[in-house]
Amino acid sequence: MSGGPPGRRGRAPRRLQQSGDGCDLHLTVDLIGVRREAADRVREGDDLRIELVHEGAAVGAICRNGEGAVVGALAAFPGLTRLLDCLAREVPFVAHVEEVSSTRCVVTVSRTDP
Amino acid sequence: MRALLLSGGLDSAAIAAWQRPDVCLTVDYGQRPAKGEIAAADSVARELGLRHEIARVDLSALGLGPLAGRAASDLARAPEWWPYRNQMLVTLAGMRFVAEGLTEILLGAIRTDVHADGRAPFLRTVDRLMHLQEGGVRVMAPARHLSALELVRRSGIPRSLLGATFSCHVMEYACGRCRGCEKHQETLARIDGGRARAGTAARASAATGG
Repeated sequence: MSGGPPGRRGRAPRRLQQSGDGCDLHLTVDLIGVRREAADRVREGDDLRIELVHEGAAVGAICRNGEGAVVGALAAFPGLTRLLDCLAREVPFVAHVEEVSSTRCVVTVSRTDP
Repeated sequence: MRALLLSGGLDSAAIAAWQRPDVCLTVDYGQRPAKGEIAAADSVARELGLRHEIARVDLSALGLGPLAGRAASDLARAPEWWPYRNQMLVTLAGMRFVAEGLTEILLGAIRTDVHADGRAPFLRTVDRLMHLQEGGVRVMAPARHLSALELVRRSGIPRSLLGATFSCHVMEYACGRCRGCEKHQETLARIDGGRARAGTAARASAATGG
């Protein structure tokens, strides 16, 4: 599931609008388990694609860079369950990179559909 | 030679930064999050300039609980209990490095560990057990008197490096909802202090009032 077009120098997160579906999330968080090789190819201002990933019964939300490599997981914030639910309903989100190094990536997550 | 069992979680990463062992060993023993642990441990070791090795021994058929994708045992003090895991990891580290002059194996046990193999009686006993065998290897748990937060602060590990750490019990990428992820989040929030506790909640609020 794509969270909007990923790639270099992405747009700043759009203004929040009320859709009424409970998916108007807008949050800034650290990614967990940042992968060095993928993070090294990301710059501030990039947009990362957000996807669900399943392993057995477990499910998580990951961010991929423009080349498709996993940069890290969205896992450390109170609204995670809601984000997972919205992603499962195919609501598109994007992770806008605010700060990045080989071992840390801070993103702002927001939905991208009109 | 001092060898650290490095899982890539907050505790062992902090001990790596604090103790600077001669070598770090990550063991893929068949646990479901092994790939995530290896990636995290590799990143931590590289950032700290430490030697890192991976040992692969598939014991997945012998595990219990979420790490093995099975039901937790009634014997477990917490669901993620994998029977005799630290005993197994210490033995494997000894087997791998004793011929290279191994003197100490460092474990990431902390004060709040609930499993018997992270607590003082076990740590004393496994130290004696290893020491009485060839090589006279000692087993140390330098953070056994510290909480996770105290350990991170004591270690001096850079905050930026903690982003690479990983403690999920159930999958390659942090799920955010297992006990390992929850403890990881709690510690990170405490490390970042009031800014994270208040800020994350505020920043995570939704336009719809979540």
